[in-house]
Amino acid sequence: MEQLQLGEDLFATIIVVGLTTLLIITLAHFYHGFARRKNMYESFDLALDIAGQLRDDVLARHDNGVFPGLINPMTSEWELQSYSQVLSRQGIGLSIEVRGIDGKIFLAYGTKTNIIDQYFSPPCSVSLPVAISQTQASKSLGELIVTVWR
Amino acid sequence: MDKRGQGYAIDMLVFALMVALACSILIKATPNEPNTLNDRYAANLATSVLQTLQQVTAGEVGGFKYKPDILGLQVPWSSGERDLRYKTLAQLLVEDMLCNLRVEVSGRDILPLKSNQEFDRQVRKFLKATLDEIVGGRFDYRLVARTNPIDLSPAARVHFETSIESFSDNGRIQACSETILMCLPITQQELRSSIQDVYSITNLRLEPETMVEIILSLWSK
Repeated sequence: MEQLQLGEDLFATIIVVGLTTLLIITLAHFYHGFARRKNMYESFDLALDIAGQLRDDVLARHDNGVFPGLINPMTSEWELQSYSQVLSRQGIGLSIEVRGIDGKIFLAYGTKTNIIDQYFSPPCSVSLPVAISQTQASKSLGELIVTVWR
Repeated sequence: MDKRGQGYAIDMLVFALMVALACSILIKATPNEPNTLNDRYAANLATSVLQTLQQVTAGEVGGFKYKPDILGLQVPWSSGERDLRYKTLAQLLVEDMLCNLRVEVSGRDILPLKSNQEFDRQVRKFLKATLDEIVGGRFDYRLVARTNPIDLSPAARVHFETSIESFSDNGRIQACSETILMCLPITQQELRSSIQDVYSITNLRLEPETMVEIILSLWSK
């Protein structure tokens, strides 16, 4: 196989180096897009699982039992913290918000990521409709918004 | 450019072609199919909506009132409006079934057992408005509620089926379908006597509990 000899043909060398650089940049750009998409899908999948667990268990614990889909806005900070710690040990950040249809916030937990963190690991949100237990007789319509990031 | 230089340039063009091919594969390749994720989200959303229908009381989504009627006529001795704000949305749907059970003979509906069409109309309107608010912006939906048919004779049966939908079916692929089962809020004895009030059937055999199926199907917009 012939070796590339620099200086033998300057024009050919410039073309070779220029094209190689361009192609490597193109490939890197497409790979970045692929990796970002992969990360986004994985985060969304994870956010769906976490939202399901919160809706059916962690946030659905009431004095008289667990009612999947019925959010207890009085869920203690300690319970949310211990759930969040389990996730943070796996490198997952979590933020939870439960709001009524009128926009009133019933429960909020977790911190927002800063712009630099968002650049390297964009957060992913999932929102699901839920019922919010206000009194024994009154259960209003609301939305559970779960945001996760790695 | 001598012949060797031309050869290098051709090699580079072949290399460029291979890289372009690799890029096009990367564009197409996704770790998970977006449709799979969309379907997973749809299934999660449908479960949430069905759970919400079982929990949220009508009073919290604008309230529910109606004037009782029988076969489309107002009941003159009725005290007026019935306010059902304390019932959950699923309970309203099940009560609608109970008030509008239909009798079918040889595959044709003949008449409702004890019709309350105004209630049926109002419940459907109320649930549609609520579903439009919860699901409408994200997916197209169809909510089907039906009872298992109760056979009165080999040719006749009592049943109920209703559907509330946000679109007309145009052959699109369904994203998901989730089902919940509920019991009719009536004892076997009460159901038997309400059927026998209208039809003189003595040997009526009923299932221990008449089940109601509520199915929510979603389609991507």
